[in-house]
Amino acid sequence: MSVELFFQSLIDGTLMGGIYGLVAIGLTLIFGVMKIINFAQGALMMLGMYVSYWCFAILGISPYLSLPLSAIILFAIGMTMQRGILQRMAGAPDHNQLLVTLGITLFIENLALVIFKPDFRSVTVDSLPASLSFFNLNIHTTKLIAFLFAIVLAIGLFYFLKKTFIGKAIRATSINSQGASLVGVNITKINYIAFGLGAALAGVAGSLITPFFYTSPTVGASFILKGFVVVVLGGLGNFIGALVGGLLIGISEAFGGVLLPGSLKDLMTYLIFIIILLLKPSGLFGGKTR
Amino acid sequence: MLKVENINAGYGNLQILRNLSFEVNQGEVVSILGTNGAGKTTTLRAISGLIPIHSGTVYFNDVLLNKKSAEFIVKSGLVQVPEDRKLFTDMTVLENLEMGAYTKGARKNLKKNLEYCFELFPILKERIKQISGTMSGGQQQMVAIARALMAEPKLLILDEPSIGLSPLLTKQVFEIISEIKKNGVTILLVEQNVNQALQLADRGYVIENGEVVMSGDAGVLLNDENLKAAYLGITTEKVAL
Repeated sequence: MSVELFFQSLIDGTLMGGIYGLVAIGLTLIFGVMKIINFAQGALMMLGMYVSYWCFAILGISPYLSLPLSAIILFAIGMTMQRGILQRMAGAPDHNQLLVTLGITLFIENLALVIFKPDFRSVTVDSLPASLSFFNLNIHTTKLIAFLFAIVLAIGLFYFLKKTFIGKAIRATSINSQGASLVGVNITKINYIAFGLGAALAGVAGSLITPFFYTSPTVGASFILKGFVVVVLGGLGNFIGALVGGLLIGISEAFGGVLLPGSLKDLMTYLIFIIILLLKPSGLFGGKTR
Repeated sequence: MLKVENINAGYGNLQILRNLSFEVNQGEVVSILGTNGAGKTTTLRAISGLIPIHSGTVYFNDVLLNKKSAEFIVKSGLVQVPEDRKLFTDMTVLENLEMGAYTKGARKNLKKNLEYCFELFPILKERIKQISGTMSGGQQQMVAIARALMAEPKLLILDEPSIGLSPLLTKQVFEIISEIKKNGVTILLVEQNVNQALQLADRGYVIENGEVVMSGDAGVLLNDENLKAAYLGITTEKVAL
Protein backbone atom coordinates (compact mmCIF):
# COMPACT_ATOMS: atom_id res chain seq x y z
CA MET A 1 0.00 0.00 0.00
CA SER A 2 1.51 3.27 -1.06
CA VAL A 3 1.78 6.24 1.27
CA GLU A 4 -0.67 8.15 -0.87
CA LEU A 5 -3.23 5.39 -0.83
CA PHE A 6 -2.82 5.14 2.91
CA PHE A 7 -3.55 8.81 3.46
CA GLN A 8 -6.30 8.80 0.86
CA SER A 9 -8.06 5.97 2.71
CA LEU A 10 -7.50 7.71 6.01
CA ILE A 11 -9.14 10.88 4.70
CA ASP A 12 -12.06 9.10 3.03
CA GLY A 13 -12.67 7.01 6.12
CA THR A 14 -12.51 9.97 8.47
CA LEU A 15 -14.97 11.97 6.40
CA MET A 16 -17.46 9.11 6.25
CA GLY A 17 -16.82 8.34 9.90
CA GLY A 18 -18.09 11.78 10.89
CA ILE A 19 -21.46 10.90 9.36
CA TYR A 20 -21.57 7.52 11.11
CA GLY A 21 -20.75 9.39 14.28
CA LEU A 22 -23.67 11.77 13.77
CA VAL A 23 -26.14 8.90 13.23
CA ALA A 24 -24.72 7.14 16.27
CA ILE A 25 -24.93 10.23 18.48
CA GLY A 26 -28.65 10.38 17.76
CA LEU A 27 -29.01 6.70 18.65
CA THR A 28 -26.99 7.04 21.80
CA LEU A 29 -28.89 10.13 22.92
CA ILE A 30 -32.19 8.27 22.65
CA PHE A 31 -30.76 5.18 24.30
CA GLY A 32 -29.19 7.19 27.11
CA VAL A 33 -32.38 8.97 28.08
CA MET A 34 -35.05 6.38 27.38
CA LYS A 35 -33.07 3.13 27.39
CA ILE A 36 -34.76 2.37 24.09
CA ILE A 37 -32.78 1.13 21.12
CA ASN A 38 -34.30 3.01 18.25
CA PHE A 39 -34.30 0.82 15.17
CA ALA A 40 -36.10 3.56 13.27
CA GLN A 41 -33.03 5.82 13.30
CA GLY A 42 -32.07 4.64 9.79
CA ALA A 43 -35.59 5.20 8.47
CA LEU A 44 -35.61 8.68 9.99
CA MET A 45 -32.33 9.37 8.26
CA MET A 46 -33.91 8.28 4.99
CA LEU A 47 -36.77 10.74 5.57
CA GLY A 48 -34.17 13.48 6.10
CA MET A 49 -32.63 12.54 2.77
CA TYR A 50 -36.01 12.84 1.04
CA VAL A 51 -36.67 16.24 2.61
CA SER A 52 -33.46 17.48 1.05
CA TYR A 53 -34.06 15.60 -2.18
CA TRP A 54 -37.51 17.09 -2.75
CA CYS A 55 -36.34 20.54 -1.77
CA PHE A 56 -33.66 20.13 -4.42
CA ALA A 57 -35.84 18.50 -7.07
CA ILE A 58 -38.83 20.81 -6.74
CA LEU A 59 -37.41 24.07 -5.47
CA GLY A 60 -33.79 23.73 -6.56
CA ILE A 61 -32.57 24.37 -3.03
CA SER A 62 -29.16 22.99 -2.10
CA PRO A 63 -29.19 20.34 0.65
CA TYR A 64 -27.07 22.60 2.83
CA LEU A 65 -29.88 25.13 2.84
CA SER A 66 -32.63 22.58 3.41
CA LEU A 67 -30.68 21.20 6.36
CA PRO A 68 -32.56 23.24 8.99
CA LEU A 69 -35.88 22.25 7.45
CA SER A 70 -34.87 18.61 7.58
CA ALA A 71 -33.90 19.04 11.24
CA ILE A 72 -37.20 20.69 12.14
CA ILE A 73 -39.38 18.18 10.28
CA LEU A 74 -37.53 15.22 11.74
CA PHE A 75 -37.62 16.74 15.22
CA ALA A 76 -41.39 16.94 14.89
CA ILE A 77 -41.64 13.38 13.57
CA GLY A 78 -39.41 12.07 16.35
CA MET A 79 -41.41 13.86 19.01
CA THR A 80 -44.67 12.58 17.55
CA MET A 81 -43.31 9.04 17.50
CA GLN A 82 -42.37 9.32 21.15
CA ARG A 83 -45.62 10.97 22.13
CA GLY A 84 -47.98 8.87 20.06
CA ILE A 85 -46.38 5.45 20.29
CA LEU A 86 -43.37 4.94 22.51
CA GLN A 87 -44.70 6.86 25.50
CA ARG A 88 -47.52 4.35 25.67
CA MET A 89 -44.94 1.58 25.78
CA ALA A 90 -43.10 3.08 28.74
CA GLY A 91 -42.54 0.39 31.34
CA ALA A 92 -43.08 -2.44 28.84
CA PRO A 93 -40.27 -5.03 28.59
CA ASP A 94 -37.25 -3.80 26.61
CA HIS A 95 -37.62 -6.29 23.77
CA ASN A 96 -41.21 -5.14 23.17
CA GLN A 97 -40.09 -1.53 22.90
CA LEU A 98 -37.39 -2.63 20.50
CA LEU A 99 -39.94 -4.49 18.36
CA VAL A 100 -42.11 -1.41 18.26
CA THR A 101 -39.29 0.70 16.84
CA LEU A 102 -38.59 -2.09 14.35
CA GLY A 103 -42.26 -2.03 13.36
CA ILE A 104 -42.13 1.73 12.92
CA THR A 105 -39.09 1.26 10.69
CA LEU A 106 -40.90 -1.20 8.43
CA PHE A 107 -43.89 1.10 8.30
CA ILE A 108 -41.89 4.19 7.37
CA GLU A 109 -39.80 2.34 4.78
CA ASN A 110 -42.78 0.79 3.07
CA LEU A 111 -44.73 4.02 3.16
CA ALA A 112 -41.72 5.64 1.49
CA LEU A 113 -41.69 2.89 -1.13
CA VAL A 114 -45.32 3.57 -1.92
CA ILE A 115 -45.07 7.34 -1.98
CA PHE A 116 -41.55 7.95 -3.28
CA LYS A 117 -41.19 4.79 -5.45
CA PRO A 118 -38.13 2.57 -5.14
CA ASP A 119 -36.09 4.69 -7.58
CA PHE A 120 -32.59 5.72 -6.67
CA ARG A 121 -32.42 9.46 -6.76
CA SER A 122 -29.50 11.82 -6.52
CA VAL A 123 -28.80 15.41 -5.69
CA THR A 124 -26.02 17.37 -7.31
CA VAL A 125 -24.32 20.41 -5.92
CA ASP A 126 -22.98 22.18 -9.01
CA SER A 127 -21.82 25.36 -7.37
CA LEU A 128 -18.91 23.60 -5.69
CA PRO A 129 -15.80 21.98 -7.21
CA ALA A 130 -16.17 18.21 -7.05
CA SER A 131 -12.94 17.74 -5.17
CA LEU A 132 -9.97 19.50 -3.68
CA SER A 133 -6.47 18.24 -4.28
CA PHE A 134 -3.44 18.36 -2.00
CA PHE A 135 -0.23 16.42 -2.61
CA ASN A 136 -1.95 13.97 -4.99
CA LEU A 137 -4.73 13.43 -2.46
CA ASN A 138 -8.32 14.04 -3.46
CA ILE A 139 -10.85 15.25 -0.98
CA HIS A 140 -14.50 15.17 -2.06
CA THR A 141 -15.87 18.60 -1.31
CA THR A 142 -19.33 17.42 -0.37
CA LYS A 143 -17.93 14.77 1.95
CA LEU A 144 -15.67 17.34 3.55
CA ILE A 145 -18.60 19.69 4.11
CA ALA A 146 -20.70 16.86 5.53
CA PHE A 147 -17.86 15.97 7.88
CA LEU A 148 -17.39 19.56 9.04
CA PHE A 149 -21.13 19.92 9.64
CA ALA A 150 -21.12 16.68 11.61
CA ILE A 151 -18.26 17.88 13.80
CA VAL A 152 -19.82 21.30 14.38
CA LEU A 153 -23.16 19.69 15.24
CA ALA A 154 -21.50 17.24 17.61
CA ILE A 155 -19.69 20.08 19.37
CA GLY A 156 -22.89 22.10 19.47
CA LEU A 157 -24.71 19.17 21.04
CA PHE A 158 -21.98 18.67 23.66
CA TYR A 159 -22.22 22.34 24.51
CA PHE A 160 -26.01 22.14 24.73
CA LEU A 161 -25.83 19.12 27.04
CA LYS A 162 -23.10 20.60 29.22
CA LYS A 163 -24.19 24.19 29.57
CA THR A 164 -27.94 24.62 29.28
CA PHE A 165 -30.46 23.70 31.94
CA ILE A 166 -32.43 21.57 29.50
CA GLY A 167 -29.26 19.84 28.36
CA LYS A 168 -28.24 19.11 31.92
CA ALA A 169 -31.73 17.81 32.60
CA ILE A 170 -31.35 15.44 29.65
CA ARG A 171 -28.07 14.15 31.06
CA ALA A 172 -29.50 13.95 34.56
CA THR A 173 -32.47 11.95 33.26
CA SER A 174 -30.19 9.56 31.44
CA ILE A 175 -28.11 9.02 34.58
CA ASN A 176 -30.98 8.67 37.06
CA SER A 177 -34.49 9.36 35.87
CA GLN A 178 -36.08 9.04 39.33
CA GLY A 179 -33.52 11.42 40.74
CA ALA A 180 -34.39 13.81 37.94
CA SER A 181 -38.11 13.69 38.68
CA LEU A 182 -37.32 14.32 42.35
CA VAL A 183 -35.68 17.63 41.47
CA GLY A 184 -38.69 18.62 39.40
CA VAL A 185 -37.68 17.55 35.90
CA ASN A 186 -40.66 16.63 33.72
CA ILE A 187 -39.39 13.30 32.43
CA THR A 188 -42.07 13.02 29.77
CA LYS A 189 -41.05 16.34 28.29
CA ILE A 190 -37.36 15.40 28.39
CA ASN A 191 -38.23 12.18 26.54
CA TYR A 192 -39.97 14.16 23.81
CA ILE A 193 -37.02 16.49 23.45
CA ALA A 194 -34.44 13.70 23.47
CA PHE A 195 -36.32 11.66 20.89
CA GLY A 196 -36.91 14.75 18.78
CA LEU A 197 -33.22 15.67 18.94
CA GLY A 198 -32.15 12.12 18.10
CA ALA A 199 -34.45 12.09 15.08
CA ALA A 200 -33.29 15.56 14.03
CA LEU A 201 -29.68 14.37 14.11
CA ALA A 202 -30.62 11.43 11.88
CA GLY A 203 -32.43 13.81 9.51
CA VAL A 204 -29.47 16.16 9.33
CA ALA A 205 -27.11 13.27 8.70
CA GLY A 206 -29.44 12.19 5.88
CA SER A 207 -29.50 15.65 4.33
CA LEU A 208 -25.72 15.93 4.53
CA ILE A 209 -25.10 12.72 2.56
CA THR A 210 -27.57 13.40 -0.27
CA PRO A 211 -24.91 15.03 -2.50
CA PHE A 212 -22.82 11.85 -2.56
CA PHE A 213 -25.20 9.04 -1.62
CA TYR A 214 -28.20 7.76 -3.55
CA THR A 215 -31.52 8.52 -1.94
CA SER A 216 -33.89 5.53 -1.81
CA PRO A 217 -36.49 4.22 0.63
CA THR A 218 -34.28 1.44 1.97
CA VAL A 219 -31.06 3.41 2.30
CA GLY A 220 -31.43 3.58 6.09
CA ALA A 221 -30.77 -0.12 6.61
CA SER A 222 -27.04 0.08 5.87
CA PHE A 223 -26.63 3.08 8.12
CA ILE A 224 -28.59 1.72 11.04
CA LEU A 225 -26.38 -1.38 11.14
CA LYS A 226 -23.24 0.76 11.13
CA GLY A 227 -24.88 3.03 13.66
CA PHE A 228 -25.41 0.14 16.06
CA VAL A 229 -21.86 -1.06 15.63
CA VAL A 230 -20.60 2.46 16.32
CA VAL A 231 -22.78 2.92 19.39
CA VAL A 232 -21.84 -0.42 20.90
CA LEU A 233 -18.19 0.15 20.05
CA GLY A 234 -18.16 3.53 21.76
CA GLY A 235 -20.17 2.36 24.76
CA LEU A 236 -23.95 2.70 24.82
CA GLY A 237 -25.09 6.11 25.95
CA ASN A 238 -21.70 7.76 25.51
CA PHE A 239 -21.48 10.73 23.15
CA ILE A 240 -17.72 10.97 22.76
CA GLY A 241 -17.66 7.21 22.29
CA ALA A 242 -20.20 7.51 19.47
CA LEU A 243 -18.08 10.07 17.64
CA VAL A 244 -14.80 8.20 18.11
CA GLY A 245 -16.51 4.91 17.24
CA GLY A 246 -17.92 6.52 14.09
CA LEU A 247 -14.48 7.65 12.96
CA LEU A 248 -13.00 4.25 13.74
CA ILE A 249 -15.66 2.43 11.72
CA GLY A 250 -15.38 4.92 8.85
CA ILE A 251 -11.62 4.52 8.67
CA SER A 252 -11.68 0.72 8.99
CA GLU A 253 -14.27 0.58 6.23
CA ALA A 254 -12.13 2.72 3.94
CA PHE A 255 -9.07 0.56 4.53
CA GLY A 256 -11.16 -2.59 4.14
CA GLY A 257 -12.35 -1.29 0.79
CA VAL A 258 -8.79 -0.76 -0.38
CA LEU A 259 -7.06 -3.80 1.07
CA LEU A 260 -9.69 -6.51 0.69
CA PRO A 261 -11.62 -7.80 -2.28
CA GLY A 262 -14.90 -5.95 -2.83
CA SER A 263 -17.26 -8.42 -1.22
CA LEU A 264 -15.10 -8.60 1.92
CA LYS A 265 -14.76 -4.90 2.52
CA ASP A 266 -16.86 -4.91 5.67
CA LEU A 267 -14.71 -7.67 7.13
CA MET A 268 -12.28 -5.16 8.58
CA THR A 269 -15.07 -3.19 10.28
CA TYR A 270 -16.61 -6.17 11.98
CA LEU A 271 -13.25 -7.70 12.84
CA ILE A 272 -12.32 -4.53 14.72
CA PHE A 273 -15.75 -4.54 16.31
CA ILE A 274 -15.39 -8.11 17.53
CA ILE A 275 -11.85 -7.58 18.80
CA ILE A 276 -12.79 -4.47 20.79
CA LEU A 277 -15.82 -6.18 22.28
CA LEU A 278 -13.68 -9.16 23.25
CA LEU A 279 -11.19 -6.91 25.00
CA LYS A 280 -13.65 -4.40 26.40
CA PRO A 281 -17.23 -5.71 26.38
CA SER A 282 -18.71 -2.42 27.61
CA GLY A 283 -17.27 -0.56 24.63
CA LEU A 284 -14.37 1.86 24.33
CA PHE A 285 -15.88 4.44 26.65
CA GLY A 286 -18.34 2.07 28.29
CA GLY A 287 -19.80 2.37 31.74
CA LYS A 288 -20.24 6.12 31.69
CA THR A 289 -23.24 8.09 30.55
CA ARG A 290 -21.79 11.34 29.42
CA MET B 1 -48.80 21.33 56.47
CA LEU B 2 -48.72 17.75 55.21
CA LYS B 3 -51.78 15.69 55.92
CA VAL B 4 -51.82 12.07 54.83
CA GLU B 5 -55.11 10.26 55.34
CA ASN B 6 -55.85 6.58 54.88
CA ILE B 7 -53.60 6.04 51.90
CA ASN B 8 -53.30 2.67 50.23
CA ALA B 9 -50.45 2.13 47.83
CA GLY B 10 -48.02 -0.51 46.60
CA TYR B 11 -46.25 -1.96 43.63
CA GLY B 12 -48.37 -3.65 40.98
CA ASN B 13 -50.69 -6.07 42.74
CA LEU B 14 -48.67 -5.96 45.92
CA GLN B 15 -50.23 -3.69 48.48
CA ILE B 16 -47.72 -2.22 50.90
CA LEU B 17 -49.48 0.65 52.63
CA ARG B 18 -52.78 0.02 54.41
CA ASN B 19 -54.87 3.00 55.44
CA LEU B 20 -51.81 4.88 56.54
CA SER B 21 -52.37 8.29 58.12
CA PHE B 22 -50.07 10.86 59.62
CA GLU B 23 -49.47 14.57 59.56
CA VAL B 24 -46.65 17.03 59.77
CA ASN B 25 -47.21 20.55 61.07
CA GLN B 26 -45.33 23.65 60.04
CA GLY B 27 -41.93 23.93 61.76
CA GLU B 28 -41.91 20.40 63.14
CA VAL B 29 -39.49 17.57 62.75
CA VAL B 30 -41.53 14.40 62.45
CA SER B 31 -39.90 11.02 62.38
CA ILE B 32 -41.24 7.86 60.79
CA LEU B 33 -39.75 4.74 62.29
CA GLY B 34 -39.93 1.12 61.43
CA THR B 35 -37.90 -1.93 60.51
CA ASN B 36 -36.84 -2.93 57.03
CA GLY B 37 -39.83 -3.60 54.83
CA ALA B 38 -42.29 -1.82 57.12
CA GLY B 39 -43.30 0.55 54.31
CA LYS B 40 -41.35 3.67 55.20
CA THR B 41 -39.78 4.25 51.80
CA THR B 42 -43.00 3.28 50.03
CA THR B 43 -44.80 5.95 52.04
CA LEU B 44 -42.34 8.56 50.85
CA ARG B 45 -42.46 7.37 47.27
CA ALA B 46 -46.25 7.64 47.32
CA ILE B 47 -46.15 11.17 48.75
CA SER B 48 -43.55 12.29 46.22
CA GLY B 49 -45.61 11.01 43.31
CA LEU B 50 -43.18 8.26 42.29
CA ILE B 51 -45.81 5.54 42.74
CA PRO B 52 -49.59 5.92 42.40
CA ILE B 53 -51.85 6.14 45.42
CA HIS B 54 -54.83 3.79 45.10
CA SER B 55 -57.01 5.45 47.68
CA GLY B 56 -56.81 8.02 50.44
CA THR B 57 -55.64 11.60 50.30
CA VAL B 58 -52.41 13.53 50.60
CA TYR B 59 -52.82 17.23 51.25
CA PHE B 60 -49.86 19.57 51.25
CA ASN B 61 -50.72 23.09 52.34
CA ASP B 62 -54.33 22.28 51.46
CA VAL B 63 -53.46 21.17 47.92
CA LEU B 64 -54.43 17.61 47.01
CA LEU B 65 -51.31 15.86 45.74
CA ASN B 66 -52.75 12.43 44.89
CA LYS B 67 -52.74 12.58 41.11
CA LYS B 68 -50.09 15.24 40.74
CA SER B 69 -46.80 14.60 38.96
CA ALA B 70 -43.53 14.31 40.87
CA GLU B 71 -42.53 17.55 39.18
CA PHE B 72 -45.56 19.46 40.48
CA ILE B 73 -44.93 18.12 43.97
CA VAL B 74 -41.35 19.40 43.95
CA LYS B 75 -42.54 22.78 42.72
CA SER B 76 -45.04 23.04 45.53
CA GLY B 77 -42.19 22.75 48.04
CA LEU B 78 -42.18 19.10 49.05
CA VAL B 79 -38.69 17.84 48.32
CA GLN B 80 -37.28 14.42 49.04
CA VAL B 81 -33.76 13.15 49.67
CA PRO B 82 -34.28 9.55 48.58
CA GLU B 83 -32.86 6.56 50.36
CA ASP B 84 -30.34 5.59 47.70
CA ARG B 85 -29.65 9.29 47.04
CA LYS B 86 -30.30 9.01 43.31
CA LEU B 87 -27.48 11.38 42.53
CA PHE B 88 -26.45 12.21 38.99
CA THR B 89 -23.30 10.21 39.49
CA ASP B 90 -21.58 11.14 36.24
CA MET B 91 -22.10 14.84 36.82
CA THR B 92 -20.06 17.17 38.99
CA VAL B 93 -21.09 18.30 42.44
CA LEU B 94 -21.93 21.73 41.07
CA GLU B 95 -24.06 20.26 38.27
CA ASN B 96 -25.94 18.13 40.79
CA LEU B 97 -26.68 21.20 42.87
CA GLU B 98 -27.71 23.19 39.81
CA MET B 99 -30.10 20.42 38.86
CA GLY B 100 -31.52 20.68 42.37
CA ALA B 101 -32.57 24.20 41.47
CA TYR B 102 -34.32 23.02 38.31
CA THR B 103 -37.74 24.47 39.11
CA LYS B 104 -38.30 28.02 37.92
CA GLY B 105 -38.71 29.50 41.38
CA ALA B 106 -35.56 27.89 42.71
CA ARG B 107 -33.53 28.80 39.63
CA LYS B 108 -33.91 32.50 40.39
CA ASN B 109 -32.23 32.08 43.77
CA LEU B 110 -29.61 29.62 42.57
CA LYS B 111 -26.58 31.71 43.63
CA LYS B 112 -27.94 32.53 47.05
CA ASN B 113 -28.95 28.94 47.76
CA LEU B 114 -25.60 27.67 46.53
CA GLU B 115 -23.88 29.90 49.10
CA TYR B 116 -26.20 28.55 51.78
CA CYS B 117 -25.38 24.96 50.83
CA PHE B 118 -21.67 25.67 50.90
CA GLU B 119 -22.07 27.16 54.37
CA LEU B 120 -23.75 23.99 55.55
CA PHE B 121 -21.35 21.70 53.70
CA PRO B 122 -17.98 23.45 53.30
CA ILE B 123 -16.51 20.25 51.86
CA LEU B 124 -18.77 20.53 48.82
CA LYS B 125 -17.32 23.92 47.97
CA GLU B 126 -13.86 22.37 47.85
CA ARG B 127 -15.16 19.48 45.73
CA ILE B 128 -17.29 21.56 43.39
CA LYS B 129 -15.72 20.08 40.23
CA GLN B 130 -15.59 16.49 41.44
CA ILE B 131 -17.73 13.88 39.72
CA SER B 132 -20.24 13.03 42.42
CA GLY B 133 -20.11 9.29 41.81
CA THR B 134 -16.45 9.23 42.87
CA MET B 135 -17.15 10.64 46.33
CA SER B 136 -17.45 8.73 49.58
CA GLY B 137 -20.88 7.68 50.85
CA GLY B 138 -20.99 10.45 53.43
CA GLN B 139 -20.08 13.11 50.90
CA GLN B 140 -22.64 11.75 48.46
CA GLN B 141 -25.25 12.03 51.18
CA MET B 142 -24.24 15.66 51.64
CA VAL B 143 -24.61 16.27 47.91
CA ALA B 144 -28.05 14.66 48.04
CA ILE B 145 -29.19 16.84 50.95
CA ALA B 146 -27.69 19.96 49.38
CA ARG B 147 -29.37 19.16 46.07
CA ALA B 148 -32.71 18.94 47.83
CA LEU B 149 -32.09 22.24 49.63
CA MET B 150 -31.40 23.91 46.28
CA ALA B 151 -35.05 23.29 45.42
CA GLU B 152 -36.08 25.56 48.31
CA PRO B 153 -38.15 23.00 50.21
CA LYS B 154 -40.89 24.00 52.57
CA LEU B 155 -40.99 20.40 53.72
CA LEU B 156 -37.79 18.42 53.43
CA ILE B 157 -38.19 14.65 53.44
CA LEU B 158 -35.14 12.64 54.35
CA ASP B 159 -35.18 8.90 53.74
CA GLU B 160 -32.65 7.21 56.02
CA PRO B 161 -29.95 9.83 55.67
CA SER B 162 -27.68 7.89 58.02
CA ILE B 163 -27.81 4.62 56.10
CA GLY B 164 -24.38 3.21 55.43
CA LEU B 165 -22.60 6.03 57.23
CA SER B 166 -20.08 5.71 60.04
CA PRO B 167 -21.26 6.82 63.52
CA LEU B 168 -19.19 9.97 63.22
CA LEU B 169 -20.68 10.90 59.86
CA THR B 170 -24.14 10.01 61.11
CA LYS B 171 -23.66 12.47 63.95
CA GLN B 172 -22.57 15.13 61.46
CA VAL B 173 -25.58 14.50 59.24
CA PHE B 174 -27.94 14.81 62.19
CA GLU B 175 -26.26 18.05 63.24
CA ILE B 176 -26.84 19.41 59.78
CA ILE B 177 -30.47 18.35 59.85
CA SER B 178 -31.01 20.25 63.10
CA GLU B 179 -29.26 23.22 61.49
CA ILE B 180 -31.70 23.05 58.57
CA LYS B 181 -34.58 22.86 61.04
CA LYS B 182 -33.35 26.04 62.74
CA ASN B 183 -33.54 27.78 59.39
CA GLY B 184 -37.26 27.22 59.32
CA VAL B 185 -37.60 24.12 57.14
CA THR B 186 -40.13 21.55 58.27
CA ILE B 187 -38.65 18.06 58.21
CA LEU B 188 -40.01 14.57 57.77
CA LEU B 189 -37.30 12.16 58.78
CA VAL B 190 -37.47 8.46 58.07
CA GLU B 191 -34.97 6.45 60.05
CA GLN B 192 -33.98 3.10 61.43
CA ASN B 193 -31.61 4.90 63.73
CA VAL B 194 -34.36 5.25 66.33
CA ASN B 195 -32.51 6.95 69.14
CA GLN B 196 -30.91 9.67 67.10
CA ALA B 197 -34.04 10.27 65.06
CA LEU B 198 -36.24 10.64 68.13
CA GLN B 199 -33.78 12.93 69.86
CA LEU B 200 -34.03 15.29 66.93
CA ALA B 201 -37.74 14.89 66.25
CA ASP B 202 -40.74 16.56 67.90
CA ARG B 203 -43.07 13.67 67.15
CA GLY B 204 -42.81 10.21 65.76
CA TYR B 205 -44.84 7.52 64.04
CA VAL B 206 -44.01 3.84 64.09
CA ILE B 207 -44.94 1.87 60.99
CA GLU B 208 -45.30 -1.88 60.81
CA ASN B 209 -46.61 -3.83 57.81
CA GLY B 210 -47.71 -0.64 56.11
CA GLU B 211 -49.77 0.60 59.03
CA VAL B 212 -49.15 3.15 61.78
CA VAL B 213 -48.99 1.16 65.00
CA MET B 214 -47.87 3.85 67.39
CA SER B 215 -47.48 7.58 67.41
CA GLY B 216 -46.75 10.31 69.88
CA ASP B 217 -44.25 12.80 71.20
CA ALA B 218 -40.69 11.88 70.44
CA GLY B 219 -39.74 12.02 74.12
CA VAL B 220 -42.44 9.54 75.06
CA LEU B 221 -41.58 7.15 72.24
CA LEU B 222 -37.91 7.38 73.07
CA ASN B 223 -38.50 6.06 76.58
CA ASP B 224 -40.98 3.40 75.59
CA GLU B 225 -39.06 0.15 75.89
CA ASN B 226 -42.08 -1.81 74.71
CA LEU B 227 -42.07 0.02 71.45
CA LYS B 228 -38.51 -0.86 70.76
CA ALA B 229 -38.99 -4.46 71.68
CA ALA B 230 -42.23 -4.92 69.80
CA TYR B 231 -41.69 -3.01 66.61
CA LEU B 232 -38.12 -2.03 66.14
CA GLY B 233 -36.34 -5.19 67.15
CA ILE B 234 -34.22 -3.50 69.80
CA THR B 235 -34.60 -5.93 72.67
CA THR B 236 -31.35 -5.84 74.50
CA GLU B 237 -29.80 -3.67 77.16
CA LYS B 238 -29.73 0.08 77.05
CA VAL B 239 -28.44 1.49 73.85
CA ALA B 240 -25.33 3.49 74.52
CA LEU B 241 -25.47 7.05 73.36
